[in-house]
Amino acid sequence: MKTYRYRRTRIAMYVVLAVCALHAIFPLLYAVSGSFKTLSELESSGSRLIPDNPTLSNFASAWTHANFFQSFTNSAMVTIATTLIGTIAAAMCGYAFARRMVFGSKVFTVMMGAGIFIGAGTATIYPRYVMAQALGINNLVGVVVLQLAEITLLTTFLVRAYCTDMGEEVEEAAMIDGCGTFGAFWHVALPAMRPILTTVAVLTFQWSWNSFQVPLVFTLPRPELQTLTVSVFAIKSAGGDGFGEYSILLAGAVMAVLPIIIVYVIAQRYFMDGLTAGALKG
Amino acid sequence: MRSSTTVAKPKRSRRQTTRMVWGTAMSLPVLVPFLVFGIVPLFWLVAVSVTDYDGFLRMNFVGLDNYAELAKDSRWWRAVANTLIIGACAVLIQLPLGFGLAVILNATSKKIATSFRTLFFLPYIIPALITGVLFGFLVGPTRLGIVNDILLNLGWVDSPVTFLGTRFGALAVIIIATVWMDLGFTLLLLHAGLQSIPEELYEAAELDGASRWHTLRHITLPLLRPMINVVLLLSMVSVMRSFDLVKSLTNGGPAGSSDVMFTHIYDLFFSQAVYSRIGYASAVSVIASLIIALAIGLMFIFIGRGGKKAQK
Repeated sequence: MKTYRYRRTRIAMYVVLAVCALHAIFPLLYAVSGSFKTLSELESSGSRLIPDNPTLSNFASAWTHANFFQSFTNSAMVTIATTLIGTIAAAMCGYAFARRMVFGSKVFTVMMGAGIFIGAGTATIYPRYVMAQALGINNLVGVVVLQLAEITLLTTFLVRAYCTDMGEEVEEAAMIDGCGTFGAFWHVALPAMRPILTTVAVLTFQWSWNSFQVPLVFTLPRPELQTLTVSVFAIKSAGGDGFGEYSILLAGAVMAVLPIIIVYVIAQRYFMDGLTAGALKG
Repeated sequence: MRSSTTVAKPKRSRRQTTRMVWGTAMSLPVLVPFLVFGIVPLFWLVAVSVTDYDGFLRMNFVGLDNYAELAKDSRWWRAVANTLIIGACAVLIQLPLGFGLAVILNATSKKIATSFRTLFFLPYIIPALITGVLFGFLVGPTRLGIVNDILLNLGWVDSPVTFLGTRFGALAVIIIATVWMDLGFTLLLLHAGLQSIPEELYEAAELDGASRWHTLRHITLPLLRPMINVVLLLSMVSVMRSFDLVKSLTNGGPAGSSDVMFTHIYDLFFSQAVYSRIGYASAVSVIASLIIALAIGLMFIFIGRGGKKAQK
């Protein structure tokens, strides 16, 4: 009797989980299926998930006609630059903070903590753009710099917490053996920080690839600079009321989602660990 | 070494100073962009908010006129109300839902829990902008929208429903999309919290004959409390700062009635019609930042008090 009841609860549990999981991925399934449909099929039967005659033409026209090739390249360049620079910058700064070797570190810690929550939102997007203009970087370089200014706040805290736990005995030994401050960081600490740096790189990649507002402000009027998210938005707001760009829009959405999902599938452990740690420290 | 740091203000040795210079230099790639693009703009906003700056040449000191005007700006306060409504509803839906799912996940084997968590987490990692686009499709006002297609096929409605055509509908869809997007993260944190509760406590409770309800009330919830607080704080902050989703889903429509704080501010700064009112937009931005700071402050006080209660 007891095992019977137990089994029934188990089955109920799996049913609930499966139903919820289906809801979680359903909009993505819709997008993938829709991106393979012809426009007329898409418009006549939104709820049929298997296309009658699947076609690749949406992707082809998105790639060429809607200039997604350019946007994809722009997004990729911005993301790669932000990830590389952001990871190294956070590694150095987080390490320096953990080893208490920064002038005014207490002030900076408080300011950065506040910055994570309050600063760098839409509230300051206009002055940030004005500053970038004044510095002559109101282009993709500016997008990278602004993203760095935002993302490295949290990742620096992640690195700092990791380095604090790491202990500095080995570095001290290395310095006694004649290593300089930077040498001890570069040759001893950095290799030991690999796990947290992987997390930082993965998170930076995700935030940079997904970012929308900064590239929107910087690149919307200049299609040759648009990133993928901006291009998708541009098509959405231009083709808004039934002008038949729907299938291209879906193809663009799938293209914007695909790289991030690939990275997620490969590195999901780092996503989860990083975001959990980030939440608890932030 | 250790004793020297406890002395009031020890003179740094030369070696230590060199070390500090190195450390500060290593921090510059983070600190300089942060100062230039994180701190300076805040001062810029406060300074410009007391002027009538038009984005080009005109800039006269107008005192607190902008703030007086915004106190009576019904469109702005409607955007604030929308933000709070979306935040409150999204949290109220996803917290119990996430908790329920976390409890179920916690009861399954580790392998199954991990694979389901992977699926649930998927919506959280894709761009919020795309989430907005996709939900725009799902509730689209023709057969293209899956909801309308199903309703029409079932014969429940005669003509497609324009879900985003009213303020109520637009807010409801934004709330659903927000929950869809954030649930995986809530679940991840609550599940991690559940797993940190020692198994022995449950065994002891079972030995004492505690009912499931009692176990939940007196063991699970109090021990999960810190994690619930984190979830509350993070989801409130993320909703208050939300922009991408609303921008792409409703763009504030119909007629600005589903605007949230940040989409409204964006339009004040960048939409051509009101381009000339940078001073006013800055004042609104300052107030928005204060509202967020206030909300976070209140949340911390609330959390602090809850923490003390739990200790007693």
